[in-house]
Amino acid sequence: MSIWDTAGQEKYRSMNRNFYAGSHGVILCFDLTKHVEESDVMDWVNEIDNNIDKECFRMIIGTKCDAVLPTSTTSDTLKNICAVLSISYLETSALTGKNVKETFDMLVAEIERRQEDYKLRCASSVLYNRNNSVVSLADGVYTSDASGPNKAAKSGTCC
Amino acid sequence: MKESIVQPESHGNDLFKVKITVLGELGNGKSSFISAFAAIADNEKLGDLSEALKSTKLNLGKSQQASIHS
Repeated sequence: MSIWDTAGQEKYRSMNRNFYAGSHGVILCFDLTKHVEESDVMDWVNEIDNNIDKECFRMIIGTKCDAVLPTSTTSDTLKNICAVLSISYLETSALTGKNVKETFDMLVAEIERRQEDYKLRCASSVLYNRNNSVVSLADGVYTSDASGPNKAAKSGTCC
Repeated sequence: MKESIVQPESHGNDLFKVKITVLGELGNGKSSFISAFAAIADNEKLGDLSEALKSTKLNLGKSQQASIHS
């Protein structure tokens, strides 16, 4: 597993696209001790959505939760957006270690689940062999069907 | 061209090919968050994380990429 820590400066934003393209999971960090506008979050989410694979798991975390002031509204803003967009959200603290391990637990579990789903989708699909007959992979056994592509098209193809 | 989440030929050690990217603005605590995870991964048995992460060592490299080596 590789974890990429990207540069936060605005001027490196375009360069970072090269890093997170092809990621299996993206963690978007926001500082809970700073004020965050909803539009700022949406800008990031749109930026990610435009540059990652649709299978990529997105997650938003609030950092420095040990130092949040009672009057801070950042947490509520992030929670609301995550609820609307169905994005996983956790509040973490690197200082106390709160939810750090849980973040990666959740991330890895979800990535594993998506990988299993992907394998199942492929296994239940049909492929063609060189003779243009259908090869079923559903049971792990190749069964040839000479009816050709029309029948297979109705069954769907692999991904 | 975007990569798909799993390459068709991948098998048992899929988790070792997983790439996770941490994003956010300057000073948001990204590096601290990763360092905290590195410390946990180095010093604890992570039973819940995954079997593949057990007995591994995480190092932070100069290229700002942290890798877990078996």
